[in-house]
Amino acid sequence: MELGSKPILGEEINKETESLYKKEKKLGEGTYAVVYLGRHVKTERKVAIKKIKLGNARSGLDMSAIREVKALRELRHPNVIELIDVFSHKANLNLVLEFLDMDLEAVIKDKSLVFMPADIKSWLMMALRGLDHCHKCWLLHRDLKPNNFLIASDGQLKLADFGLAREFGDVRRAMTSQTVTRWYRAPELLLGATNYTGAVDIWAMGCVFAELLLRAPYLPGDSDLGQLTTIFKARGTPTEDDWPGLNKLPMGFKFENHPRPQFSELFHGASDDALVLMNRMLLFNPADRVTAAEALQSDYFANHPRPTDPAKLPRPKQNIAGAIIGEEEEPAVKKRRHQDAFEDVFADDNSGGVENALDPAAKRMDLRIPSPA
Amino acid sequence: MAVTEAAPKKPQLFEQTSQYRHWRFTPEALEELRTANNKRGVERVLQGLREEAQVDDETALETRISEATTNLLTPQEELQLVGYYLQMIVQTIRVYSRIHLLKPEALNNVKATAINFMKRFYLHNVVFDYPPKSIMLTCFYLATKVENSFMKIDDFIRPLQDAESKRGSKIQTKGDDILDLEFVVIQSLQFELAVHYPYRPAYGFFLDMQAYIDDVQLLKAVHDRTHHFIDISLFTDLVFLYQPPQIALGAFKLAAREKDLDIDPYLARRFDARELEVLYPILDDVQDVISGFKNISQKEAQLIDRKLILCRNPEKNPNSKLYKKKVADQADTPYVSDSDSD
Amino acid sequence: MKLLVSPCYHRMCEECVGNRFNAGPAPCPECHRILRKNDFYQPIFEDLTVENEVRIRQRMSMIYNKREDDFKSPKEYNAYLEMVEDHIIRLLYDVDTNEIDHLIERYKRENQASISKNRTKQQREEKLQRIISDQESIKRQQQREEYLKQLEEEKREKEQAKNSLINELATSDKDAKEIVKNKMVQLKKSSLSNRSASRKVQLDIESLLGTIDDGFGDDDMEEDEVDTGPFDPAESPYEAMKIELRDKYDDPNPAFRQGTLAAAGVTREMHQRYTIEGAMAGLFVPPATEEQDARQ
Repeated sequence: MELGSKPILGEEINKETESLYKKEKKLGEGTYAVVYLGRHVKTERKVAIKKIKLGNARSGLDMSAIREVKALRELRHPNVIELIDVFSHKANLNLVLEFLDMDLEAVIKDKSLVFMPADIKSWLMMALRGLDHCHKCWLLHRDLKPNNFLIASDGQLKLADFGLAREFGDVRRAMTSQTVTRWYRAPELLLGATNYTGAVDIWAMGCVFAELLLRAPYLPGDSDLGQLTTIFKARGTPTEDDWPGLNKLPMGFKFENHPRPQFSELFHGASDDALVLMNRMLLFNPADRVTAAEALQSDYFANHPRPTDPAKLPRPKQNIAGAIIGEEEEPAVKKRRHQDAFEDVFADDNSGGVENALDPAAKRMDLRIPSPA
Repeated sequence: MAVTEAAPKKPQLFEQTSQYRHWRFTPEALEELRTANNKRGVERVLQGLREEAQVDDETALETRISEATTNLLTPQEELQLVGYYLQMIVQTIRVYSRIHLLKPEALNNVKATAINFMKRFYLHNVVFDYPPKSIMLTCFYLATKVENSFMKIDDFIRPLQDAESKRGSKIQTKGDDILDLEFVVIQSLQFELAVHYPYRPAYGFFLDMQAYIDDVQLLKAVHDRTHHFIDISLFTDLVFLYQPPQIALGAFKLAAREKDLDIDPYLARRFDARELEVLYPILDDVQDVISGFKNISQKEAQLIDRKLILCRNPEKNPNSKLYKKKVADQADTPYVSDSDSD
Repeated sequence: MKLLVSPCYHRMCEECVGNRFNAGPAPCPECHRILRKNDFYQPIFEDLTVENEVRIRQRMSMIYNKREDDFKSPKEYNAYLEMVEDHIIRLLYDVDTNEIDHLIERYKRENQASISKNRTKQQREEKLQRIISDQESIKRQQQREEYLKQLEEEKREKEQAKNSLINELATSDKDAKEIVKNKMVQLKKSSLSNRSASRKVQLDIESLLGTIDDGFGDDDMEEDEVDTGPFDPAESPYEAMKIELRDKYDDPNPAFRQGTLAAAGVTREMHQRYTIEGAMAGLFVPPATEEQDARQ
C-alpha cells in the first residue's frame, strides 16, 4: 500500500469527503432534517444532501440517524436508495444520497394518472426486489409505506428511509413491537410480538399492493386497537387454526368475530394471480406469509402481462422537492392527532423505552404518517 | 459447496459489507499504516508544542520539547496502550451487565462492536491526539446504540459516577465528555457501523457439524468453549485479516483440541479440498495468534500512560492553553460559509 | 539369491547377512563399521551410487524442509538451497562427512520447531492432494452418470412428446395447428432445469410439423414476442447463498422455550439458516492481497 501523502486521520478523511460536494439549494425542511440539492464537484452528479439536525439531542446521535447510516452503508442494490457518502460538519451529520424527487405516494394520489395492471406489477416487482435484498442481508426495514418508496427519473423504484431498520435473525434479542406506521403494521406487531421476521415487511408490502389496486389506503385504522379491528373487518378475525399460537402473543386475547369477506368484490379489477399473491402477503400467520423471494417466484410475475419497463411507467408532472426527507410538512393538527403512534421506536431491547418518547427526535415520527385519504 | 460456474460471477452478499470492503488488510499494510500514522502524529505533537509556546511561556519550549521527545511512544507502545483499554472496555461492560443496564443476550454484540470500533479508531488516529481512556467510553456508548441497546446518556454515566465517588476520585465523568467525542469517533469509523464477529458463525458451525460428529454433547461443550477463544480473538488483529467464520473455525479448533475432538474429518467430508487448501493456512494462523495472545498488565499500561502525559498533542488536549485559546477564537468568529447551520 | 545393501553401501547376499549377523552386531567385512542385521535393506536401484544419493536426499529433505516463504527474499532462499546441495554433495562423495553430520545435527537442534511445523504442513498437503484426486475422480464419475441420465431422459421425453402429439392428432377433432401450438406452450412452461432438453423436443416437434402443417404460425406468436425474452422477476446483482438445511438439528437455544416466537413467525429453521449462513459467508476468502490494500 502506498500511503504517500494520503490522509490517514479520520478528521482529514472527513474533510476530504466534505470537499467533494457543494450544496446548491434547500429543497425542504422537517423537524429532523434539512434536505439540499447538491452536486459532486468533479463529476457534477446531482445528489441530495440530507443534513440531520442534532442541535437538541440530549443523548448525542439519535437512533434513527444511527440506524439509517448503519443500514445504508451496507446495502447496494438498484432498488435501494444509494447512500453515496457521509460526512460530518461540526455537530451535524450529512448524508449524501442519490437524488430522487418522486415517491410512490404522490403517484398513487395523482388521480390524473391511469395505472395499467403491468404498471402495478412493475412497481411491486421493484419494491420486492429491494426488500428481498434487505431480507437476504438479514435486515428489516420496518417502515414500508408508499412515501418511503422513492422513484428515480428513469422510473426505478427504491426503498428509502431506513431510520427504523434493524437486523433480525438472532432469536434471543428482543425487538420493539412499536414500529412501522400504523396502517401498514402487521398483526403480530399489534399483538405485541417481541421478536419477528421479514414477514412484518411483507405485510406492509401487501398493504401497499392493495393500495396500488385501490388507489386508497387499504387498512386505515385510527388507533392501535382500532387498527386490529380494521384489519379483522377487512380480512376476517383469525382463529387458532389460521394462526397457531395466536393467543400466546402478549396481547392475543379474544376479539369480536368478523367473517372473512369476499376480496374479489373490493378488488374487482384485479386479476386472480394478483389477488392470490396479495392474499399470501396478508396471511395472519407470519410463518405462512409469503417471503419476498417466494413472491417474486409467484405466478403473478411469471404470467402475462410482463411488468412495464420502468422508464415507461406513469409519473406525475410535478416533482416533489422533499421526497427524500421522508416526511411531509403537514399542518400541526394532523401531527397531534397521530402523536400516540410511536412511543418506543428507539429502545428495542432496552427497558427505558417509554421515556424515549420524550426525546425530541422521537416526535419526527408522527409527521410521517400519511393523512387519511 | 463446490463452485463450478463459467459465467462471469456475481459478487456474493458478504462482499458488499463495509467490513469486507474497507476494513481488510494485509499484515504489512496494517504495519505500514500504523507506522506512518505514528510518525505523522509525532510531527503534530512537536508542531503543537511550538504553537503552544507562542500562547504560553516561550522559555519553557525547549524543556517541553525535550521532555516530549524522550517520551514519545512507538507504534508498538501505542498498540499496547490501546490493547490495555480494550481489556478495560470488557471489564466496564461486564459491570453494566451485572447491574442489568445491558441484557445478557446483548453482551457479546456490544462488547465485540465496542472493541472493534476502538481498534478501527486507532487506525485513523493516534493516542497523542486522543488518549484511549476517553475514547473507550465513547466507543462503548456508540456500540450500545449500534447494537440496539440504547440507553440515555444520563443512565449510561451513572454507574461510572457511582464507581468514581466510591473510589473517592476527584474527577467525575460527565455526559458531555462522552458525547463530545462521538463525532470524532464516528467519522474515524468512516460512518461504517455494522460489524460482523465470529459468535454467530460459531453457532452455525455447531449446527452444521452435527451431521458429521455424533457426540452432540461433546460438540456443545466445544462450542461453549469456543466463545472463550473468540473473546480473545477480539483483542487481536485477526479481525482486520480474516473473515468472521474463519476466526470462528480457528477458535473452534482450539476448543476442540482442548476437549480431544478432531474436527478435521468434518472439514474433509464437508468441503472441497481446493477450498480447504485456502482455509487450512488461515486456520493455522488464527490458532497461533489466539494462543499466542498475552494480556497487557496494568503496570505496563501505567508506564506508557505516564509517558503519554508528556507527549500529548496540546492542540487536541482540552486542558492545554492552546486548546482553550483555539476554542475561544472559534467562538469569536462564527463559521461563515455554512450560514444555515443550526 | 537376494542381494542386500548395508548403510555403508556394501553388498551382501541375504544368506550371508543371516550367517554373520544373527548372533548380534558385527563389523562389516569391507569397511569394519559395526552393523546389525536390521540395518541391511533391499536396494531400489541397481547402481549403488544412485541408491546412495536417493537415500541421502531423502534424509536431508526431512530435515532441511524450509520453504521459500520462510525466507525474507528469494536470494536468501537460494543461498539456503545451495548450502543444502553442498552438504549433499559432500556426503555423497564422502568429503568432511563428520563435519557435515555435525552441522546437520546442530541445524536439527536449532530449527526443531520449524522442521516439525513444515513437516506437518507437508503431510497435510499430501493428504489434501490425495483428497483432491479422490474427489475429482468421484466428480468425473458423477458427471458421466449425470450425462448418461440426461441423454436417457431426453430420449424418453422426445418419444413421449412425439407419441402424445401423434395420438392427439389422430384422435382429436381439433385443428392440427391448434394442437401443435398448445403442445409448444406446454413445453415452454416446463421447468428451467429441463430447458435444454425441452428445447430439443421443441425443435423435433417443429420438424415433425413440417410434414403435417407448414402454415404454422409465426404471425400468431408475434404479439407475445416482447414477452418471450429472458426475464427473471427474482433477478439480483448478487449470488444468493445456497444453504440446504437438514431436517433436524440439536438446537438447544433457550429462546424457543417461550411459545411467543412461533406465533410471530420466528422459526428454528430461520434461526438455523441465519447462523449457518453466517458460518459459510466468506469462509473460503483468501487473505487480502497488496492490490486490495491499495484500493482502500
